[in-house]
Amino acid sequence: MDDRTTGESPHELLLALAGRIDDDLLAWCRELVAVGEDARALELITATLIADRTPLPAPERAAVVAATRTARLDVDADATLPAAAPEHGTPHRFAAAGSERLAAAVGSLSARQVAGCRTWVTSRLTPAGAASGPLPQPVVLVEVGTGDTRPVDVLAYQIAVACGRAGVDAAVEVVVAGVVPPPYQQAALLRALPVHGEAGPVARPADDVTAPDPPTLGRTVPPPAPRAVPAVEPVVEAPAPVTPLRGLPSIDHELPRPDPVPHDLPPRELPRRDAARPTPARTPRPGAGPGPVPIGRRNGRAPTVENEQPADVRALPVTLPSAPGSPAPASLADPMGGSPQAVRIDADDPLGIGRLPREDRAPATPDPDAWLADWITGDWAIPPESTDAAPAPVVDHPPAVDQPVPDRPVAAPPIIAPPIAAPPIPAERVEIDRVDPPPPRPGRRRAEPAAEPTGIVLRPGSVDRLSDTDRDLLVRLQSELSDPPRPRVSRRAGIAGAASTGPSGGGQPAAPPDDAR
Amino acid sequence: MTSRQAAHDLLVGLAGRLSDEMTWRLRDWLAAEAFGPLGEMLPRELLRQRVGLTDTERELLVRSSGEWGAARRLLEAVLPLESVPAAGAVFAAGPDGLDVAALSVLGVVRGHPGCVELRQAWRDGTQRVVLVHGGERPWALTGTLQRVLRAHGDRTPCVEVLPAHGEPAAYHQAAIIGSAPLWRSAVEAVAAGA
Repeated sequence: MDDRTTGESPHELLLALAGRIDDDLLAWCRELVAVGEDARALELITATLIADRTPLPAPERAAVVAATRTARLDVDADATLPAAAPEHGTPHRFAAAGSERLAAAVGSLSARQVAGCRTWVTSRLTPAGAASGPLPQPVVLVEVGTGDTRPVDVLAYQIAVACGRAGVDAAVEVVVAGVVPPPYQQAALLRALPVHGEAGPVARPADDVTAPDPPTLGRTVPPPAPRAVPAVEPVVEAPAPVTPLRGLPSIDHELPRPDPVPHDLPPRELPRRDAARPTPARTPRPGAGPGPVPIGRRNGRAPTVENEQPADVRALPVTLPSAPGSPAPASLADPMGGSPQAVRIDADDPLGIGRLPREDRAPATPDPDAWLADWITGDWAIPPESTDAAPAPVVDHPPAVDQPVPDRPVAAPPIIAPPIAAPPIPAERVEIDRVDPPPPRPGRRRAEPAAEPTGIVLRPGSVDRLSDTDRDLLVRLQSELSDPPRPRVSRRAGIAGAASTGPSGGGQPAAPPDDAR
Repeated sequence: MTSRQAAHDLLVGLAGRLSDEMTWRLRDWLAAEAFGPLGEMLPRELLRQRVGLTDTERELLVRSSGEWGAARRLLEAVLPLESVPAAGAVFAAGPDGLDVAALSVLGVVRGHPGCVELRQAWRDGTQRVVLVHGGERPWALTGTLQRVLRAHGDRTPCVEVLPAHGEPAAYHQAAIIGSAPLWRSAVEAVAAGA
């Protein structure tokens, strides 16, 4: 069916009739021609041209009449077709804008179909035929090489079916390189986006060179070479400035260096995806929004704009709402600490569980550690009668962290506990809030704060009534009183000193006071 | 009965039996008064798709295609049929509300003389079927509505302009039962009530 030499083949006749009959009929006839049913295609074309009273230029009209006679159709096309009318150019208008979806469909064609071909996509803005379909009409233009032996009508049919399976019903026009296409295809090529092959001039008549060249491919659709693996050039760029974390040693020597070996993937791919991830509280910056995403990224090189995007996004002020008393979401949302209000990451407590920021503490709220202060006072250990007779001078003191406790009991009163050296605490962990002593509760007799804060004076005999556990606790308290005031680590039991040991950051629960030995 | 009316009645009766892709084109050629191509193509398509005709339908074919120059050999080759088979399609009213295509069809039908009622159904959930009762020059109205629907994206418009009175075929009966009314002429409603 393919005869590229005579210029009167059914395929070339359909090329000349493009834009004169509706696209559905044109695609149907191309399918019929591809499968060898030229006579039926000519019947449909002739009947439509007669019904629509479509005037044809003299060469096209003569070609239709000759084809009907060759096919021995009953209809007398020469008598029923409208008279020939001269035509200058094509009345159709095309626009490349809005062809992105079609370009994606054409770009996903198999390499076998587009091997050695150049393809373009465009959209026709004007109706074709008397019963035109919806507009704009997607149009695919394919140029095959002169040495390509594949039948062009079959190629047009296959590409049309492939586009239809991709969800785009497009009209496919296949032209041969070196052959001047009809005015319809010329006008379409002038406003088309190339998809496959290198952009270049298409054969056109010498008197039609005033029109501008087709738009270049680089802006929208990168033109990968047919059947060629897209080469990704290594993107080498300077690392973005990193804000040093407080309390952490410098990690400049651990930053990834640009690899001189080309990567399979762009090195900035991961930061770009992270930056593109939406954040609900991101403050928009005028003029700093991401640029339009070009099509055909799969086969093309990433534009330079994308390489600059991570730095811009990193510079954007990010402020995430953090729940009171829970700095972990804020630290996770902004690990670089770009915002002054953000909680920085501690080296030993990256999730921020073991310590609380100062601004999260509400001073007006009731102190939930009042029970602990009561425990420390030792009132619970004194019988009511003894307390009523002579209250022991117990000093309220902030709690202490777990420390080694001597095994032997405390000596007779007055007891001035010797200071016990506390285990050293890493400097990274000691940014801890101090706990104010709880206010005295009304109705509970409590000793006034002692003038000597370094010891506890107990009445004779009161120590004998204490159990071993109570004695241990008293020893610990006295040792604490002998040391300068030490802030506590955490309000919750089980996270002090073990915040970073567990798999989830929670650590193992601390041993109760009774099991401290 | 004129040849145009005979061709229109025959093409209406072939709904659901001939392919939609070919039926709408034959109706479009009839609306465009392309009698020569229609007279030749109609018997050929009946033979290609092996669609049989009843005696009544054969008379309609002879009165249309036969008068328009179709070869007698082709007319005689059309397969005979005892009776019209039952419709195998399922029709449904579809979602409530009118889309742009239905509103465009309604605008044309309201202004066409003789139209009584407009209904719409969806065949097998995918194909819109427009049913018009009454209307002068039904073949012209059919062609106009088909082109309106094609402009709105219906590649194979199914427009059935039925006579205002009469017994519809099985295909159209099923379509009417499953359709939803879009419009009814007030004059016709008053006349029916009187």
